[in-house]
Parts: sequence; C-alpha cells; structure tokens
Amino acid sequence: MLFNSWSFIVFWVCVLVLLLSTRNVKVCFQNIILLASSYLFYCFFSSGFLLLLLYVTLLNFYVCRLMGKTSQRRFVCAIGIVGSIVPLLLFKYTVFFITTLDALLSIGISNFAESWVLPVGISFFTFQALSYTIDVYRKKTPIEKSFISFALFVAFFPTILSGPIEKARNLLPQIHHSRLISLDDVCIGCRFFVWGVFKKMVIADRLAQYVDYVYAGVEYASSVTLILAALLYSVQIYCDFSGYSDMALGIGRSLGFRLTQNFNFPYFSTSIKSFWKKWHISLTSWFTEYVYFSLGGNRVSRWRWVINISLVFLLSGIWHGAATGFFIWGGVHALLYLVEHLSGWSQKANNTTLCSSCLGGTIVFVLVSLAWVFFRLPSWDSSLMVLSGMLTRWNAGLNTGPSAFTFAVNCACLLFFILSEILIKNGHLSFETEQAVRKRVFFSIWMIGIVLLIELFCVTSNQFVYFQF
Amino acid sequence: MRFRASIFSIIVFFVALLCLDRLAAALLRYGVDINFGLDQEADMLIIGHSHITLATDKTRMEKELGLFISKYARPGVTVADRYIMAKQYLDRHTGSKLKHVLYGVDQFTFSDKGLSQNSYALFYPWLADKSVDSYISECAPLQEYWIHKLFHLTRYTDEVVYAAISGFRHEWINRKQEVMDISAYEKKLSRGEERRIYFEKKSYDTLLRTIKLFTDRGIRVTLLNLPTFYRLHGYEPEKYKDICELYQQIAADNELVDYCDLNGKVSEDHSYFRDPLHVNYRGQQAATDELLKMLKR
Repeated sequence: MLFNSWSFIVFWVCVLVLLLSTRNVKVCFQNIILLASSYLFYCFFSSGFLLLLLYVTLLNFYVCRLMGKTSQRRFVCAIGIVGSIVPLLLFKYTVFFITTLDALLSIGISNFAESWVLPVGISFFTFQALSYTIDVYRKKTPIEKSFISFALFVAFFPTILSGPIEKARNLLPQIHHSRLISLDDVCIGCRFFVWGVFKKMVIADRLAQYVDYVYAGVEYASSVTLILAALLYSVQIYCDFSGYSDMALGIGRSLGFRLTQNFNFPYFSTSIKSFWKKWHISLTSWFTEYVYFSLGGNRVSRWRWVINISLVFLLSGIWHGAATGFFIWGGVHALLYLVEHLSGWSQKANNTTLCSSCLGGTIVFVLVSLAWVFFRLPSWDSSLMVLSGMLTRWNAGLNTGPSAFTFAVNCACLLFFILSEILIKNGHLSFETEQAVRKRVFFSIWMIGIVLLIELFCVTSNQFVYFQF
Repeated sequence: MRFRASIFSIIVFFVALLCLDRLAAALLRYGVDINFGLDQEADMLIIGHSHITLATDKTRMEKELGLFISKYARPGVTVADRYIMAKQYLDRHTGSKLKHVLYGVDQFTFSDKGLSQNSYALFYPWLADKSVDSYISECAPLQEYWIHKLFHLTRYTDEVVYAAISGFRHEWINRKQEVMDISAYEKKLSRGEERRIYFEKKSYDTLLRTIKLFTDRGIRVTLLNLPTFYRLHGYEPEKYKDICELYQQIAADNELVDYCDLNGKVSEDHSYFRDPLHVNYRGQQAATDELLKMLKR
C-alpha cells in the first residue's frame, strides 16, 4: 500500500474521518487510533516484521525509563543503541557478507541470500527510535512516560517507511498536545501530497524509464546519452525521494502534525556544503548530531576532523545499503566536501554575483550527478564503464530511447517542473493558504495543471527508490 | 464565514478540474478519431495491428484509389480486440458507404502469444462507446475501470496522445528508417528463439465472427497477408503453410471474402524490414505498391 495508490487514499480518508469524529475526546484516544492505524499500515507491507518494530519500540522505551533510574546511564544507553543497531545490521548487511563469503570461498550458501527479506523502513524507524534514546541520554529530551505516545512516535505511518527521520523533540510534543484538524490543514496537506505525487509519478518514474533503458545497454550508449542519463538520474532520485517526503509532509499536515522539511531545493546549491544542508536534511542532521558531534565535530585536530568527516559520509553511504557503490558514493562526497572546505570555496560561494552563483551551482550539480552514477549502478565496473564512456564515445549521437515522442514529453514535463521549483523557491507559489486573491487564483490554476498532468502523464506501479532503505 | 469561503473554493476548484479534464480529453479524442479515421464514414476500412499499420501508406492509397480510408490499426491488438474494433466502427457508422475491409492477417493471427496481455487498455480513449465500455468492463480490474471512467485524461497514454497530434496534423507516414540486423537475426533463428506459430480455436472463431459482422452487411473482406521477412515463414514452414491454407479455406467458404498474400519479392529483401515482422519506410512503399496493384485489378 504505497502512498501513490488508491488503497492508501482510502486508508488516509478513513483515518481522517475517524480522527475528526473523535476530535472532542482526549488526545490519548486519538493517539491510540493513530497508533493502531500505523501498525495496520505497516502490516500491509510485512506483518511478520511488526514484531521487529515492537521490539525496537519496547527496547528504546524501557532503556530510557531505566536511564532515569540508574547512574549507569552510559551503559544502559549503549545497550539500547547496540540492541537497536544489531537487527539493522543483521537484516541489511547479511546478504552482502554471505555473497562476499561465497564468492571468496565457494561454499554454496548464496541461495540462502536470495530468500533474505529486508523489513520495510527498518533504517528509518531504527534511527528515529535511536534519536530519542540518545537525546534522553544527553538530557535534551525528557523521558517519555506514555508507551502509546512513544510507540506512535516510532511507528507514525507518514514517516515510518521512508522518513523524514523525526527527532523526538519535534514530534513527541505534537503527539502530546491535542491537535485541531482544520480544513485549512487538510487542504494544505492535500496540496503537498499532490505535488509529491507529481514529482514521483510524472517526473521520477518517467525519467526512470529512460535512465533504466540507457543503463541496460550501457556498453553501447554514446557519451552524450550517458551524460544525459546521469543528469536525469539526479533529477529522478531527487523527485522520487522529495516527492515521497512531500507526500509524508502532506499526510502529516492533514492530521495536524508539522513534520520536518527533508529537502530545501538542494540542486540550487552553490557549494557541496550547502548541498548537504539541503539534501535529506533529516538524515544529515541525524548523522551530524549523533555521529559527527559524538566524534568531536570540528573541535579536534585537523587530521582528526578529516577522519570524522570521512567517517560520517562513508556511514551515510552504507546506510543506504551494503553495496560497494554506496560506499564509493559516500567516499566521493567526503572527498568533494573536504576539497571544497580546504580550498575555501564554501566560504566564497556565499558572497558571489549571480553569474558566479550560476556557474557554482552548475559545477555542484554536475559533480553531484557524477557521484550519483556510483549510487545508481550495481558495481564499481559498470560505474567506471559509464564514466569512461562519457569521455570516449563522442562518435554517436543522442539516443532518445524507444520513443522520441515520450522523450519530448519528458523534456516538457521536466521544464515545467524546474519552472515550478523556481516559483516555489521564490515564493510565487506557496502551499500555505495565501491571503492575496491573485496568488490564490494563480496557485489554484497551477494545481489544476498539476492534477491534469498527473492524469495524463503519470507512470503507475513504480516503487519509491528510497523504499528499499 | 471563512469555512464557507473555503468550501466554496474547494467546490469551484473541483468543478474547474472536472471541466478541464473532460475538455482536454474530448480534444484528444477528436484527434485520435481523425487519426484512425473514426470521425467519418469511410469507403474502405483497414483493421489490424502494427504489421498493417506500418505496411500500408494510407495517404497514397487514398490519392491513387480516390477513396476515403479509415486505418484503424493499433500495435498489440489481439483478434478479440479486432472484433471490438470492427463492432465499434460499425456501431458508429451505420450507413452503407463502407464497401471494403482490409483485415491484416499473418502466421501469428490465431495466437495471442507475443501480443499485449492487457490490450483492452488500448481502447480506454473510447470508453464512451457502448461496445468498448462493455468489453473493457469485462476485462479490466474494477478499480482501474472506474478510475478511467471518472477521470477522462487517464485514458490517454503517450502513444495515444501522439496519435491525436498526428490526427490533427493529418500525418500518417511511417517514419521508421532502420534496417534489420540480418546476422543477429540468423543467430536468433539458430538458437531457436523466434516466436512459434500456434493455433487457438477461440481466435479462429473470433476471426469468423468478425468477418460475419461485415459480410452480413454486404461488405467485402480481404484477408491481407502483408509482407514479412521470408526467413520467418521458413522457421516453421509446415505450420505456415497450414495457416495460409486456413485463410484460403475461409475465403473459399464465403463469397464476400478473399485472401491476398503479398509475400513476394518484398519478403526476400531484408532491407525493406526493420524487424522480421515489420517493414520500414521503404518496405511500406514497396508493400503499398503491391497492394495498390491488387486493389486496382
């Protein structure tokens, strides 16, 4: 039951109706409804792994309760962290270790790996639960007394599958306070949701068809085709993930919650540092607060700082999956970040003219797109083949895919999307309810256009890219 | 007061959305009707799948024969789909102008293998037509059917939008210029990977029912076997011969039905084909030459 499915719309409406019909009762009753809905939602994907979700919830809840009663807080916190991380490591990286072992020793156990199933959303709900435990240890968040509230925090259905990874200090207070679901919030939520559906089902899924087509025949593709596929993959993954985040934000808003913004127009960044402040904000913030700061942050020697930064980026890479491509992707970004910092570019990028901003932005976009090649392709060899192909196959022209018309439609949709992003970034289009009539009318016309484009050009039945994490 | 204003805005938004949805869909449908010649009564109707779409130059045929031709052929349509296409055309145009139908056949006609499994989805643009509506409602999942029923623009894919644009531009040219890779095809044949000929009685009965739709109205039907690459015939030669004999028998059993096999010199030259089944632009012109010679006789 993905967000972009009719069955989810029915589910969402039912939850909304239930909450509206119980708006005069105590907030804990509303939280029970939300918690039951969240568990039901999770069961649609993997009812067996509901036990794992309950385990992570119970472990972190009682670990934090214990921290309030004992002086061995550090030890207890460590139990919570290790106890939560172990299932994540087990489910996510076992296949990688088994296939590597099998490749080295030929002991014939790779068949076992084929039947290994990854629990949906494990990376997200584990990190979300751990953020609470570590915040309690650092005394940034009070210990939660209500199990229902904490369970809802971990399992909240808009965020459980692919984030944003909420901090306890943002979401728990909202869970405690009574929420008035207003028509305004429902409308704003629907606007975010529709925009998210457009990004996912029109832009991301259409570009995915072209990118998959090119990378399926990578040994024959020309340089210009490979370069275009790499650039379009950058847009694809942004729209896939930010589209999902927008849908999550919209659903949360309709239920009276203000979730964390996960993307802030990252491809308009003029430096790698700025890019990482705007891309997957919740994950970057998690690694910054709980890994980077724990390692000493930048209050260490220069070389130690370089190691800290590299470690954070590498961990961020392998968080996405146990494949060399993700590790290399993290490493490439670490290198770009360090080179930029040590050259002083990130400071210069803040004080530039429009022309140099555009140049800087283009360079950042190109570098990030090249890094995405490692993220997208299954192996180091195929990534190198693509990168070398970009430089050496200029004898052939652009391959527009199986249908030139579809390619033209993709370009038109992409142009519309970029224009819309610029208008949203500059405040000409706002998802919040505007008072000015002209802006409201303009937004409504734009939204009608979005819905019509979804009807006409959407691709169905494509799972979210970040779903696999 | 503000609540009422919000409700009013929401209602206006949805009404505007539905109106624009229907308007845009109606426009596209008009273009698609022009493209397939469904917007007016024709003297001649061409029915089939991509094979006949690419092999016949409608514009040239109209000019040389002095007729208006409807070319209602879609990639991936099965025999059952072609029955619906025939029924749809006849339900729309009840007059007596139509005299001749060219029904595309080949060695794979009596099997749906290799064609699209949800080919009913090709007919969503015409959901308003009764015969199409009842066909789709039998084939499509309920949710899918009702989404397309309520939201008209969801009935259109890229291929159909392109067909609508081509319809408005009155453009029916075969733009495929590529030539098949003969050595790759020889390797494919040697590996035994070519599509097999199957006979399904259900498809045969549906073909007969389709023919009867026309012959009951006194309309002549030509079962047209347009050129395919000769190595394809030679892959299962006995089965190919049996299928051709079946077409000849159908023609012999009915006064208003003929069978025409245009697999001659064109079939022997691989430069006319983009793949063993489909001709390129050169092949289209060569096949159309042969077809016009036959029709003028």
